[in-house]
Amino acid sequence: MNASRARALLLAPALGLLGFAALDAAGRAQGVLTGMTASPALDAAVFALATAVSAQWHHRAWRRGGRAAAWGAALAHVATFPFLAGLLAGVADLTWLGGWGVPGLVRAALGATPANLLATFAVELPLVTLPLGGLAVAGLAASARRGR
Amino acid sequence: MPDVPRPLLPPRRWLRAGLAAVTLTWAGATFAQTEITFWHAMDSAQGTVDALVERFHDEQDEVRVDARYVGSYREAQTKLLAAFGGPDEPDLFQAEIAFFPRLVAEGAVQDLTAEAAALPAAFTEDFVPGLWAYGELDGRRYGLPWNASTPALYLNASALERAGVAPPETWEAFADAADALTTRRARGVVFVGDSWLFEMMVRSLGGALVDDAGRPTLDTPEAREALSLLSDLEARGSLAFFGADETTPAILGFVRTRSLMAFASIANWPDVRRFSVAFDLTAVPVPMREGGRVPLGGAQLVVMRNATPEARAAAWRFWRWLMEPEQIATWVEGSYYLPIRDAARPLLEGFYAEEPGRGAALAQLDRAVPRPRIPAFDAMRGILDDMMERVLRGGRDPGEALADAQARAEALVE
Repeated sequence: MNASRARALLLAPALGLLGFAALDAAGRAQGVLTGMTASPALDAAVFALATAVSAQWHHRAWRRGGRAAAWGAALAHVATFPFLAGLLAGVADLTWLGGWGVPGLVRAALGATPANLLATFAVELPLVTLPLGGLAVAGLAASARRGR
Repeated sequence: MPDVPRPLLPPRRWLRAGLAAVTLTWAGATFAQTEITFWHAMDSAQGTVDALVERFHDEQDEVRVDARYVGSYREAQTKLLAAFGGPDEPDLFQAEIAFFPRLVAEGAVQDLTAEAAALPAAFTEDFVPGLWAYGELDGRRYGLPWNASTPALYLNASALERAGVAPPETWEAFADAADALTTRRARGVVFVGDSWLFEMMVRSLGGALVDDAGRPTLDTPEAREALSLLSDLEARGSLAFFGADETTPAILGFVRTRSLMAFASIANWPDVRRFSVAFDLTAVPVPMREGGRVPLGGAQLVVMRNATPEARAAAWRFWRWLMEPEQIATWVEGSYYLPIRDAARPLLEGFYAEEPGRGAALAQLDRAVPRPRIPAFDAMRGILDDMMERVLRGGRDPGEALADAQARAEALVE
């Protein structure tokens, strides 16, 4: 693993945790439910993991790609993050909090959870999530391009 | 040349005579036909209304029904008020149950006592108790039953199963269930601040919003208990409140699993069912205290004042046809409203057995009572909606809000 990827692996979870904390605080302040699972620790871990996975996916485009590729990766990160995080949260919820044996809970975890996170990002708290997304992308892209 | 007998009329004349006969028959049928306009508010059951009308047309030629969906109950009321006395006024109108007494008080509908008196007792006694009397005011018959419902408690059965929570049968169990189901990802219950649902709580606790003399009784121990229960749940974060005009976002919250219990009319079952793909849905009777009741919802069909005698007779004939068990069964299967005649129930056994949740309203039918039938109740509903908004969104004290609502309602009645 090169230094650039290692940097991303350290930075991305931190950005994910920052995003989780900001979203949680904004949700509380505005009375919007933002939780993906019943456990805040699990949600925080999912945000960190999803950001790390997304950063690894787009690392190459940010590090070696031109301007168009970098912008494309940034848009892809913003567009796919709610689905990725929601899906990971659903799997984590079923695994740690139970429910794989209940078809209704599996549908809710893998269907409603990503849809809810997307709604939170795009409809309920876009003034919080869009700057957060921008910040995460800027940080990850800058980290990837460092020392090119 | 053989002697061929001459026809009585040449072929061309036979053709003319035939055409004339067909035209006269068609014209006769047309002149004998009465067309009535019927305004209704059945959005999701529009297809069933149209199918019933089509079947009615197929079975007879004398009456044609022009059924028009004119928006929700509130929108239909507004349109009716705008059309009063004008050429657009319908002959037959579906009046929401709380609006119906106001129409009667304003003399906007026809008195159907004479027609009702001619009905056989076996027919009127076959209606669900209380439902036939619903259309009577001051001993006169103005309304005809058609769609009736009661509220039910909709449950996300999957979430209840995981939490180990049983469907609540009392309000105490309901509050406990709401708290137990609440997590950072979902609230235990979503509540729409609609007067009918508040009345449901008060009635189920043994109270009433209007006394037998027709005076408002909004500030009672049962009303305080109901409002305090909602207020406490909201304060603990176990209840998501939506205003009376925010039904859609409330239902969306439920189908998105952001809230796990919800009160709504049993007639909402098909819509909620259609969108509840992410979990197993069920419905149960509303929580109840010993001796408690549940308010009937729905509407009455009324013949408007300007309807001609022919239109009035045609409307009556159409309603009588709608009341046949086969038609009631079709209506219930398409709309999920209650089977208002016992004679229709055997036809619906399979329908209710298919999904147990469908029968939630049916199970509490023996406790169903009519809503208040005073003209001022239509306006009182607004006072109740406003009161809930102030308490559950504005944080006002329930006792103060109820005292204020009582004073406003008394002023309204006076």
